[in-house]
Order: sequence, then C-alpha cells, then structure tokens
Amino acid sequence: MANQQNEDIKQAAMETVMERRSFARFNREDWVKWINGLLNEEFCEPTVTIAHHEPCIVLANVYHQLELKSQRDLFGEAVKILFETTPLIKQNTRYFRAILELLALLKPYQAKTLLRSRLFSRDFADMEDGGMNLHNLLLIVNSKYEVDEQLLEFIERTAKETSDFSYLLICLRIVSPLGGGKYLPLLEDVLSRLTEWRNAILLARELEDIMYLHGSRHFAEWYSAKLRAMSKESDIFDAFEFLEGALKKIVFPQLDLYAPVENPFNTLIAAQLHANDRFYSAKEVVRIARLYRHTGRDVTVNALVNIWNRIKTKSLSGALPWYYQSYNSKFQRLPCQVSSGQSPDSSISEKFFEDEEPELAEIFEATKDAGCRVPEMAWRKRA
Amino acid sequence: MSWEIVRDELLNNVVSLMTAEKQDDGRRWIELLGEETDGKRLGACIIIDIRSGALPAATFASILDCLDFSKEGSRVSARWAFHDAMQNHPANRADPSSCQFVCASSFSVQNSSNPQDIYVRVLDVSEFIIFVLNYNGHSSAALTREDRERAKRMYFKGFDHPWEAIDRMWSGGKGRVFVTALEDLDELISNQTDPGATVNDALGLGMKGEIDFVAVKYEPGTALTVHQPTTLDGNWANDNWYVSCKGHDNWGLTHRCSGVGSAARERVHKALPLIPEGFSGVHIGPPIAPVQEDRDKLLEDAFGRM
Repeated sequence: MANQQNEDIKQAAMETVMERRSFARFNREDWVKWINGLLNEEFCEPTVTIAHHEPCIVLANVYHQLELKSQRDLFGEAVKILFETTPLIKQNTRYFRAILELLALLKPYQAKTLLRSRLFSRDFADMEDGGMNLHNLLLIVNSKYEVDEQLLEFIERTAKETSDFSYLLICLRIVSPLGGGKYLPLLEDVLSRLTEWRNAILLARELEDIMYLHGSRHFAEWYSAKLRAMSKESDIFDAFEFLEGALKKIVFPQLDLYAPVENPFNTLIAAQLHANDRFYSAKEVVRIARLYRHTGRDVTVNALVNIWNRIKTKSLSGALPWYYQSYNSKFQRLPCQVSSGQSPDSSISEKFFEDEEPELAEIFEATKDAGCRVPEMAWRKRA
Repeated sequence: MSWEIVRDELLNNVVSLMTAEKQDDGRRWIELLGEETDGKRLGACIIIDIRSGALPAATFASILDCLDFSKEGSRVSARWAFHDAMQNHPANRADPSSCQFVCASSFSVQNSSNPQDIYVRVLDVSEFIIFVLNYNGHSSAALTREDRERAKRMYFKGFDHPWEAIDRMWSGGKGRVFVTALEDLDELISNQTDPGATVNDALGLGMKGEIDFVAVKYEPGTALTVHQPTTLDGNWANDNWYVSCKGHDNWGLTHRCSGVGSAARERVHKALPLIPEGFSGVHIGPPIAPVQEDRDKLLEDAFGRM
C-alpha cells in the first residue's frame, strides 16, 4: 500500500512537471528563462526541433504556434525584457541579433521607446554578425513601428553621413512607402555613393521592388528628367551609368513595344534604357509617344528626347533617330508623318492626323523644340 | 540491431579510449543515453560513423572526455551533455562561433566533376535572408512577412534567373551547410500538390510554424569540398531528425519525419566565403499539411543503418 502511494505521488509529481513545462502554461518569467536558455544553447524544456536552423527562426516558429494572443503577448514581453537587460558587449552580438530579429516580428509596444533611443545612441554601430550590422538591423526594427518625423529626420541625416551602402538601401526602402516620390531625394544620396557594379545590382533590385509596390510613375519622371539633364561633368555620371546598366540587366532586360502595355511608365523607362543599342521603327516611336495618354505629357517628351539623344549619339551612319513632319494645308487634310531614321522610306512611316490626336502632335512638336529635328543646315541641304 | 549492441560497442570502442579518469563519466553518459529514444539514436549514429570509417572512435572519445555532469542539462539529457561536451572541447573553445568538428567525415568529394552532382540548399526563406542576403550586403529583417515576401520576389523567380551580386554564402552558427542533389529534389517535388510538406518531411527538416521553403541551386562546377554528414554535423542540444549513413557513394541519407517513403541524399560543406555568380533560386512553397512525426521509426532506421 505504502509503495503504491509512493508510486502515485511520484507519478503525480512527474505529471505536474510535464504540465508546467508546456508552453501553454508559461508565464512571462518562464518565457524569459526558456528563450534565454535556447539562445544560450542551455538545456531547456520543452525541447524543440532546431537541427541546423537559426535559433531566431526556431523561436519565431514557436511564437507562431502559440494559440492565444495572450500567450504571444507574454512571449513578446519576454523578448523585450531580454533586449533591455542583456549587457551591450561584443560577446553578446549573436544573441542580440536573434533578439532584434524577433523584435522586428513581434513589435512589443513596450519596446518602442528603448529601440528608438538605442538607435539614436548608435549603441550597436560596431556590432556585426553574419554580415549583418546590428545598427542597420536596429533601424529596420524601428521602421516596423511608425515612421514618424523624428525617425525620418534621423534617416535623412544619417544617409548623408554614411558610406555603408547596405544602410542606404535600407533607408530607401523605409522611406519609399511614405508616399509620392519621397524616396527620390534619398536616391540621389544613394547614387552619390554608388561606385561598384554589385551595389548597382542591389540598388536596381531595390528599385524594382519599390516600383512593384508603389508604382513606377515617380521613378519614371525622375529618371527621364535626370537623364535629360545628365552630363559627363555631373558628379553622379558614372553612378548613373552603373544604375542604368543594372536596371537594364535586372529589371528591364527586354523591351517589346508590340506587346500590350501593362505598365506604361515601365515601358517608357525601358525604351530609354534600350535606346543605347537599337533604332526604333516609326511604329515603335509613335507607340512610345502615345504612352502620353497614361503617363502625361512632360515625362513622355523627356523620354522621347532622351531616346533621340541616345540613338543620335550612337548612330554611326549619321542618320537621325526619326523624322517628324507635319503639314499645314488649307486645301488637303494631310497626316503627320513619323519615319524611322533607319529606314526613312515614307511607305513604312507611321501616320496620324493632328485633328484626331492633337496631343500627340503636340508631343512631337515639343520634341522638335527640344532639338529632335533635322538640323537647320541639313534641312536646307535636303530642301 | 538493438540498443544493447550499440551500448556495448560504445563501451568497448569509445569509452575505452577515453582518459582513465573520465571513463566513469563515459559509462554514466551511455546509461543516460539509453533512457531516451533519441539518445539511443545518437548512440547508433556514433556507431555507424565509426563502423563506416567516417570518423575514428578516438574523436568521439575526446569529445566525451569533456563531459561535465556538474551542469543540470547534462544530468537530464545525454544528448545535451554530448552537445555541451562538443562545445567545451579544446578545439572549439578557441572559436565558439563555429564548430571544429563539422564536415569532418573522411568521405568527401572535392570539386566534383560528376554532372549529377548539382547541389541545392533547401531552406526557409528567413534562413535565406540570414545566410545569403544579409551576408551579401542586401540587408533585411528575416522574420517579418513583408521582408520574406520581398526576398521571394527579388530572388526566387526560377532557376533560369541566375543571381548577380551574390558572391558569398554564410553557413550559420555551426559552420556547415546541408545540401541535397537537384535530381533528388526534382523527384521529390515534381507533380506534388504540397511540395512544401514533401520537402519538410523527406529532408528531415520537421519545421513547424510559418514556413515557406525555397531552394538555392548551386552553380554547376562550384569549387567546394562536400562531405558525407556525420553525427557531429547534427545539432544535439535540441531535437533533430538526423541519422548517419554508411556506404552511399559519399552521400548521407535523410530520414523522413513521418517514417514513410524514401529518403533523399544529403551532404555537408563548410561556409563558402566566395561563390561564383550564377546561383539561382526557386520557390517551393509553404507546407500545407502539418509534419507527421514518428520517432520510433527514426530509431528503427538508425538501428537498421548500422
């Protein structure tokens, strides 16, 4: 009888231990100990499958499997406590990396102020783990909360001071959702530090994603205007060329002006990028011009001027990129005519009527005013 | 095969090589090992590695010489005790950020010219961010949904979209990367309605939570030395699905978490400080079905592979 009782007591004690070790019954202190233990590779129960996965990922998945929000909130509080109380020493870099990754996911409200103050103090500036600078990660974490004026000002100021390209890309990414072309001034700062091809590729990827998420209009307008104003004397000439090369390779590898236009701004950008290595047929030139219906006049004119300048510069034969003629006749309704510089044969030129498409005629006139026309001497010679 | 055989071989071939004053600890450890299913598996894996010639018994003996039963974890879990002993081995103490025993198998292939040896690394997209993107200066948080989606958009358009500006790969804290053969991955996921669940099971990943698998394809001809995995490539501080293997043309074999179906080949390599351009990625997907686990079959397989 006594033996049976002892066995029962032992069994009950084990069951209590098993119950207490279930995540569902964890309180905040339990979570602090367990998360800390796992990150320190101490023995902790319940055990979880880690295998060769990173601890922060394992912890995130434990979090995702918690059924109740109250449990998840306790988890978040525990991570915040660990962030607050772990000494800021280099030996804890790996530990902090995991904690910061979790804070980006969990965003516990109690951590916001501390995260902001640590960022402004640059507490993690010289800590790096696996290629990730923890100050950069801390900036990302802060951006998961509201990006207010204070944080924006910090980003804009520090972007001008840093030479860390990775940091600059993060700044660009954080500012881009704020609306409009707010990220474009920052893009200029990024360009001023673009000196390597590999960074141009990373920037192109980032811009591709920004355009995917927020549309291409602002970038198209910026790019077209910038290209038009660009000169070899510009400080960012080389960087701009790098960027163009990367955009052409990664984002706009092909241009098919005969396919349905899904994104007119993208088409305008691509047409300018590819003008470096091809002529456009008359039909293509007019198709590009007709994009004004979706993109607006100014950016379309800029794009056409850029295309003209590019083709003209590269043309070995001296042929102009295209010829545009309009006729004013009281007696006959004559179409405006665009013919390609590559094959100026009027039989394969593209025609349209000014009274049907007055804005299109205006676009071509505007390009003529900007210099996209037969030079005066050559015109006289032709005449 | 049985636990008794494993136990006796450990005692006779490993503990006997330990320093005299630590052999009691070795025996105590083996007794503790036999108290849990996964402990027995650890023991079986060690025996497989020794019998196959992948690792000498002396290596394990030197690790067990570092057992420390003053720690609570060592008294409760033989697997954790083993992990702790590895961490505290003199070879590892100099650089705690990586393990000196990984990729240690004598069965290895250097710069394989076999056209079949095209490797893929299957991982969760968060791991890709940590191991690849952040290591190449394209920094991002790893765990949030928006960052994971962005990584997929940017880098996982398909194997016909090779990456540029990705010329480094990190292996993680332990210093080793598990890879499988592209051929095996193709066979696993082709015509599957739930490829994420298939790889989670077949590759012995057993991940739970918000998972989304991607595959990183190595550029054929990448200069690297790959090894058949050993016990020491596993992480024994917590749970895993690892089983050692012998005699498989320098490949290891995974074990399916469900215990049902065929395994896939696997190898390990150390961190690649420089990789050629041309790596590419494909999105496999999140597992729809939860992972089915059968640890009894895992142990059965371990004994079977001896």
